[in-house]
Amino acid sequence: MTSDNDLDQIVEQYLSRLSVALGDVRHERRQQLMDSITDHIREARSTLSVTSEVALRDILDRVGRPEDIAAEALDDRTASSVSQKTWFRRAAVIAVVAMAAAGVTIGAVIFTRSDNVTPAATASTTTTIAPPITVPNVVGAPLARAESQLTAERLIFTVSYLCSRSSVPPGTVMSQSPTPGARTRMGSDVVLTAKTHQTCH
Amino acid sequence: MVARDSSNLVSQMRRGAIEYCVLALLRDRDMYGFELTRALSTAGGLVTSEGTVYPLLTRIRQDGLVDTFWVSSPQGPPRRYYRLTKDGRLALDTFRVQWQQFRDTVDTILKGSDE
Repeated sequence: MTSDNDLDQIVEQYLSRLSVALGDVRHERRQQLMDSITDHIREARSTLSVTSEVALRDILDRVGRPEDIAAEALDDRTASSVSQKTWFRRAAVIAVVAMAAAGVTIGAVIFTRSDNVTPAATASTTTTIAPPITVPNVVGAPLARAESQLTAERLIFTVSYLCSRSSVPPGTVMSQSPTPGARTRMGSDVVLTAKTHQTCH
Repeated sequence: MVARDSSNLVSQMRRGAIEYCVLALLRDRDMYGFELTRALSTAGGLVTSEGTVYPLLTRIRQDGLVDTFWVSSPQGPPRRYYRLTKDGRLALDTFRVQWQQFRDTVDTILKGSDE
């Protein structure tokens, strides 16, 4: 027999691994999957009255390796026509960013005053230029607000849930990386740590 | 001669059929996630793991083949139930006919080559 707290910890660790593995899945989708699998594990635990680590590990084994779930989610994205557009859009964004970055490098070689060369100036052959994005401050915000702030800036994000003795409500963002004010690119990943909903030691 | 990778073939076939197996399970009654994925994983060899069913559920929901609703649970938080839509029922009926034809054809040819 293992304490509920210890079992909760094992589940949290699994969900953190899953959240990281789903890093390339677009955020609404990732959130839906995280919610579904969190529900699944909770249902399995209560239906099967799990009180031992062995029984819990069995449930998690059946849920499967986070990498397999991520592979399935990414496969799905290209299989579905609606999602395919998103995939192409994202590929296009990456291509533009890559071209802009290449432009800077070429610029640095050609022009001696490379510090004056901006992506906008060198990548003039592309129609859209991805300007650098200032990472917003979402520390202290509930996850829902953090999500809308980050997606408004076209940033994607990953959440890890942690135990915290802080008095803030569960689901509050405790830390973020890159830090607020840092410059990043459209489509970059921001790693958030939020206070868990589960009871801690 | 190069040995063909049959595990890849099985995974391709599984990929094609599993979505319809989900629809078939929902034909008679609505089910919640855990119940549905357990039913699939206990039907041997159909899914690699229960977790991989969820991306599929998200997709067929986006495609309008199933929809979801919440039901309060006797113990714990409410459960998300999956329900077959009219389009889902139609897709399932079409697949059943196509599957039977396909299976019969392949069976006939396989039997023929045995003799």
